Amino acid sequence: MRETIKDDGQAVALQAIVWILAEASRAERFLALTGLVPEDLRTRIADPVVLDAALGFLEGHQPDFIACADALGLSPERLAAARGALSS
Amino acid sequence: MSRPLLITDCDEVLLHMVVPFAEWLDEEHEIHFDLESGDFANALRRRAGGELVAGEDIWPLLTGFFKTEMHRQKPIVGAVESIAALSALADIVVLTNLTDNVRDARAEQLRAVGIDKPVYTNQGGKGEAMRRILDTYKPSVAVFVDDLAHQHESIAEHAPEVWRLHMVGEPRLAPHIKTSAKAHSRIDHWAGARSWITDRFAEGQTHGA
Repeated sequence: MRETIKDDGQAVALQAIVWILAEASRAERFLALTGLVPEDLRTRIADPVVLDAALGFLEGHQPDFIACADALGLSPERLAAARGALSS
Repeated sequence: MSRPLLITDCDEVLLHMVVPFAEWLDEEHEIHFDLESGDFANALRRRAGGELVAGEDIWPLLTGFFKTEMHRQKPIVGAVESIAALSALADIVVLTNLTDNVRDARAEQLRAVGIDKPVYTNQGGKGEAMRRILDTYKPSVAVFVDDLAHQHESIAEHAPEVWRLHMVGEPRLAPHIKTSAKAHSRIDHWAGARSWITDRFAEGQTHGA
């Protein structure tokens, strides 16, 4: 079961990354703040470090966090839990 | 390393087609195109007299449109942003039902709106072209998006392992188009489509890891 939870965290994080990248200005801010480069996204998108950076970026800016949870149809608690699931 | 692959149609998925085509017929050819009829073959009538435009006369109009009027085709809402975002997860190619001589024009047209991706042209069912694309990319998981039901049948026959999303991005057509029985899902807007596609990629990566 533990594996399932982890996979779910990864799936949510991937959804969050796609949501972040779907707006150009937000995507730029994401890359600037996380220090990631587009090449990182292209080559190691499923890397837990990249996924954690995406969820951390959202947590750092409450309006984004709420908007993302809303867009993905998740409660804020569920989105927050995804980050924990990545490292478990 | 093998990555996920998105194979997407162009007309009515990335770019509007029938609406600008209808506008051009109206402006330049005095033909009325009844978009809501749901029947392409019987939808075009000459403004003077209301006479039906015969099937053999529609084809030159279509090729004429693609020859000189591609600039009229604007992106479907959310398409450009979604392709940009999904590019982080996957390779993306466009598989479009046009003759090979307009392939470069189509690629240029898509580049102009911000979609810079390889373009494959194809005539008829897309299943065989899909097989060739899969042989080239050898993706970890593949998703196909198209507005035409018979293309989903063609893919289901030739490449059943590919996830198939039926999407009619033109709001004026969508209510009149029945969902293909061969598609795994039907979503007509990009916000929902990119989420569904992301989940298929996530599944593929999870299983491939």
